[in-house]
Amino acid sequence: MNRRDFLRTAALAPAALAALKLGCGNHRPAARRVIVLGIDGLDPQLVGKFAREGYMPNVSRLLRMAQISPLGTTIPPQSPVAWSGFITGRGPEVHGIYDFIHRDPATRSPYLATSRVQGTDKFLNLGKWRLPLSGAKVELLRKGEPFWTSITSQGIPVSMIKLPVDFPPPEGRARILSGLGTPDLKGSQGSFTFFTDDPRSLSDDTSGGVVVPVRDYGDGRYQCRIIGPENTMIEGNPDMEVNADVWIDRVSKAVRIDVCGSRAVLGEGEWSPWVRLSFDAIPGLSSVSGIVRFYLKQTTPHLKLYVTPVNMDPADPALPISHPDSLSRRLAEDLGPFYTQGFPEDTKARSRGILDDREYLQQAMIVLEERVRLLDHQLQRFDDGLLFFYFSSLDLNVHMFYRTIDPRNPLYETTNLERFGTIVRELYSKMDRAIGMAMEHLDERTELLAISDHGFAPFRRSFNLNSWLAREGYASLGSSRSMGRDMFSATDWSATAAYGLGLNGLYLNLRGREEGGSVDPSEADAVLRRIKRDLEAATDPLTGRRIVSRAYLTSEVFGPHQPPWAPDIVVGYSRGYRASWETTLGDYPEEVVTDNLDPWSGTHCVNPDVVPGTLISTVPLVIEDPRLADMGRSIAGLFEVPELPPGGRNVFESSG
Amino acid sequence: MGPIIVVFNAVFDVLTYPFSGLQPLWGLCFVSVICGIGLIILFRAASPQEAIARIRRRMGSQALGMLLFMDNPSNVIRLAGGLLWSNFRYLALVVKPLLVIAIPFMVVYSQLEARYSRAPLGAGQTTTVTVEFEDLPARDDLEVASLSGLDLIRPFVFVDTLRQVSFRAVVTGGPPRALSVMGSRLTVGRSREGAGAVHRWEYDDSWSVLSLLKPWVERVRGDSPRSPVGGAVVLPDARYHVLGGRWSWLAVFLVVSSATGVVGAFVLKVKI
Repeated sequence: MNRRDFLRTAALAPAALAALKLGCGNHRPAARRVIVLGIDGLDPQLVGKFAREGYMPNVSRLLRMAQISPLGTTIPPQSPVAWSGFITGRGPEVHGIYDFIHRDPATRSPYLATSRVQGTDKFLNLGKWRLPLSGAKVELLRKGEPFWTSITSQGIPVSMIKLPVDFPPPEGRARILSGLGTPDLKGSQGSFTFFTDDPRSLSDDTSGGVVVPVRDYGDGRYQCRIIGPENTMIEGNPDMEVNADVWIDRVSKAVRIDVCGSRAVLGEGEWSPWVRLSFDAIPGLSSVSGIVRFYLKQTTPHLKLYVTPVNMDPADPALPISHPDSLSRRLAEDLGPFYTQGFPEDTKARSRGILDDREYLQQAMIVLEERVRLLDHQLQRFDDGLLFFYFSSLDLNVHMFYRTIDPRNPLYETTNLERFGTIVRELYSKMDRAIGMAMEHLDERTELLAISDHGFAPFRRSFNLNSWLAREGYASLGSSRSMGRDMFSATDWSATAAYGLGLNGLYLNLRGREEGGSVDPSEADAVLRRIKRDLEAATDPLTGRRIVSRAYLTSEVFGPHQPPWAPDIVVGYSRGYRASWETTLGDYPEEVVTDNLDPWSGTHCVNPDVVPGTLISTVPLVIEDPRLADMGRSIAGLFEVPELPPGGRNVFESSG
Repeated sequence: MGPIIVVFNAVFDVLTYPFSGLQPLWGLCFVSVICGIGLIILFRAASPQEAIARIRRRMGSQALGMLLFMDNPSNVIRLAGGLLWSNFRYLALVVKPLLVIAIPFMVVYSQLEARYSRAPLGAGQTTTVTVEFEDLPARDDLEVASLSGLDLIRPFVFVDTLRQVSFRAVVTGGPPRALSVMGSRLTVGRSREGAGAVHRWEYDDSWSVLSLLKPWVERVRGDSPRSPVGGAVVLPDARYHVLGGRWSWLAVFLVVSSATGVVGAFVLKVKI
């Protein structure tokens, strides 16, 4: 079966099975157990290809009793938006998540769309010490009722493990361990530290982590300060830190790391096990616990020591990462420490060249092995109800290695294909093994679903949206010398009609909403339509291809009344294109379209039609065009709860 | 002093033996209960029970008097002063018995620290071993081998400044788990099930009271000047599930032994 046949079969199978089901008039009994594997980025075309080629034997076996179908994603097809749709069955107009990044209209400064941590402002001041009189507030910004409340209200147990866009997990009857969106201990989405005495490695770039210069004072010891979270108990909120003594043995090409009463020996090219760090807020009285892994890249001629972002310690988390609180502690006791940050694969360290492909892949495999152990642990204890389990590995690793399957990627020629040419296939095989683990628990009253939020497309050319807006006269720069600076430092807001921020967002500089806005609300619609028309007509000077497949007016797609943080246009890029990294930070590079020279070479932040997700289901489908937002209602329907969640359609019942 | 240490180790081995097949928490609770009872009996024997009873009655009457004469400030002040003085006298009475029970408490503390503060190493787990020398041997002269229950993992890190060598060992069996370093035998972790976990070594050719208080330290036996003079092994801290929390051994011991002591005082009519 070739790819076209496979997709045709996949598309026709639901309708055929629905007809069969209606014709027979049978009714499946209510499920006792439903296992849902949320595999971020599982692409239906790649699944079909690798299953046909025999690299996904479990999926092939599963498809003898299950169906596969493309699964409609969201506008924009970004994970936080899509998984919020899965959770609530609704769109951004209800759950409030439009992008990874939102912006404050008053300051245009970006912030993480999914959660917010606010420190307390009530303190008892004792000299330099400030004792908080109330706890810090962590707020989940995703709104809307989760679909599982209709299941738990019937007394059916629900476990959502590594659930995206659910940090901090809300109170309720479901067991939840937060996944995507969970910050590291410093509050970022992952900030590594790289210690070195090689001056050539030093950089002012702080995206994704910092390079810290260290030196050997002659006794073979490097004193490495690992920075932790801010100490809100001291005036000025200085960073907490711990000192690691790194003893180097250049003959053995190894180091000994003494930190927080722990000791680790590492040879070159080795990763340490998890090491617990204790950051003192008030020495002897209050501390914050974190965990890191070390990687010794090199000892000679220069020390190069990588430290992962400081993850919250699941045995003693500083912020709520699970509900109930004891869930993460019990998992840590059963399985040992594990990655708690939402983006565990350190793609930034790879993009910045701190880790090479081999080293990045080692780290990514550590994450995946941890996740597989966690899945096995949950499956062994799964007796009843709903178990949702989320994998981030496929998504982040395909982002990094799409260049190995895309001969038109600018980095294709320089990538070591002999070594990494099959890595995407191997990643799909590993997901296949995870699906196989879940299949071992199938019985006549257990259903299995594997779902993804989107597929994948190549990312060959970067589109500098702000530069395009400037070229087309929609934005004005103070001077050409200002170009290339982050966060709109070059922008003359009085003469700027629109700006780009985030991966798909375009915002009007609207008077009354934006500080110093220049577009009168009465002209907003006309300006937006003009930008939409021009965007959809924009072509790549190198290839002549259209850059934007479709620009979605938010007011048309989500309704006329949107919150102030919503973008005015969601840009749906054509296959091969995406917003540049500079665009996400509000920068104006000189060229409008450039080659993507970042290892981050696959994307899904394009037009949603290009990157549908995947649905593999042991339950026959009766709807031809299932969407991710339908899945919550459909899953609840499998338990025959008296009142289904309001959002979405039931893809397993003709009555919906 | 050597035979005394052997006796103490044996007493605690016997006490914890019935629980060796159960979770360590049970053995810890049992020893805590025994200690609570033992310490309250010792307190009764070492304290002037009649004098304590008298001073407690006096303190009670002074407190009651303050409540009854709240409208008479001079009386309240006089009674408050008397209560303060009675408190001092009470503390003076309990100092001696507290000092008496502090001696066995230190021994108990040491034994429990050795047995329950560190989680045992399971098969497949890796630990870091550090050995210290008077004079660091040359790399080619270093003789390290596993005697039982361990595999050694290279590389060996030589820390010249501290005259130490560190390396990793993965548990393959045992206990016992032991190494030979320059001909000296070193135990790693528990020497046998139920026994104390060795996580330090010291070279010491004479027994002392301090040895009694450090049962987790193994004396290095080596006659050669090349023998190690000390070292350590990294063992994870043990935490115990109690009432939904993760308690240290000391928290478990203090709560259980105190509760037992209070109940024991009530049953045995001990004035505390």
